[in-house]
Amino acid sequence: MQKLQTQYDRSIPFNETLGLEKEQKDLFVITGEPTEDPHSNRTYLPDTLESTGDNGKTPNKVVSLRSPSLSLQHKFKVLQKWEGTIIEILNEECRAYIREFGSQNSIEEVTFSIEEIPEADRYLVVPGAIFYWSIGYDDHIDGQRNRISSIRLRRLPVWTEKELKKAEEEAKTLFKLFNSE
Amino acid sequence: MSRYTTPPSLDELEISIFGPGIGECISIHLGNNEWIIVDSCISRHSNEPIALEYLKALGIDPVSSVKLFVVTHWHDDHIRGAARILNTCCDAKFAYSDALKCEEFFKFARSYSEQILMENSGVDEFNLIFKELLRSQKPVRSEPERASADRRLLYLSKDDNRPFNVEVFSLSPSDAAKRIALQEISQLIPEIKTTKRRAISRTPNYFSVALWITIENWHILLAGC
Repeated sequence: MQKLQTQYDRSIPFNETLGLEKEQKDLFVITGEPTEDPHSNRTYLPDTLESTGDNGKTPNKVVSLRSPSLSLQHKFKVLQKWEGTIIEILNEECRAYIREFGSQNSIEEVTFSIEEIPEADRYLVVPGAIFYWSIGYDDHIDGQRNRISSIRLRRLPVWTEKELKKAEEEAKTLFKLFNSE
Repeated sequence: MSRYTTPPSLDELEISIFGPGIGECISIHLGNNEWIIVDSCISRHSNEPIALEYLKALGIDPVSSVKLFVVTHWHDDHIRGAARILNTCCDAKFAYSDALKCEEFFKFARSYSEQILMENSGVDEFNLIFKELLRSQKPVRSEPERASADRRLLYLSKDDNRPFNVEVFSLSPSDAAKRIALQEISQLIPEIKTTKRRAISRTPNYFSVALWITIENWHILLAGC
């Protein structure tokens, strides 16, 4: 699959999210491996992408991407956030480990219904998938506030042939070293 | 650290269980200021491997006092900081599950080694252990012991200084468990064009090392999970 390239107009408020410097030009290119949902035939961008300045220099930076429409109309105030890993899917229920965001300790095991996950994300629900679970206030542009719990699956890139080939070569070397007696 | 008390006396046996969950790390005083450490987790207070924090707080030098360090399986949440323990306790024997000696495990671990987009891959610590073992190869460190069913990992005989005979045996994994573990690890190796994910452990754990420790007339069974 070819790398997807998308141009974004900088007039939309991505600046902070993308961590760009003011002097950078208005247009830039972000690239990343898309993933495909075989059920809906839709293609999704990963939620983390590499950015490339339009001056041809690569900042070598990993950036996050947010939907512009969502960030314009809503403001989400996070009260608590966890990062989780799905362990098992059984009878429409997901068993997962969660830990408070940024913490190394205090792992908890939780079970939640697969219905908690947005339909568009459900194809990503596999053992090992990483998600963010946030609880907070969703403040709408019209002044309304709703307390919400949101589970969002991370859209990570795919393993490439090059990466797995490298892993295989390293494994062979290590195996020989540790089995040399 | 003030929350720890005085060290055990030379003829006192002590078992300490640490960790945020179900005892991710265990230290055992075998007598004569000789210790073993089983698995590892990180202290929230010092960000150090908790067993090292504990020994240092008691005024014990881990370099000369730790005789055996055992890593029972590969799951990150049970061995966080293990590479740092290996680095510090350079005279200690190191033992890990014989189920992890297969080439498939190395391939699995290396496949997950460079996932820069996630905080941890699930098998990060074992990759650090490989690195540490390569760095401290002979003559600095003796060959790692492969823990499997009915294998003696450590023997310390009673003498003028040592008040007890000490024997540490591994009871698992058995040959049958190793075969199942190999099948599991083969399934965890990623395929090309599949979405990256975190390596997760399964239950029951067929990799794990159970330990039988005999200190004179006392017997301790440590069953990993």
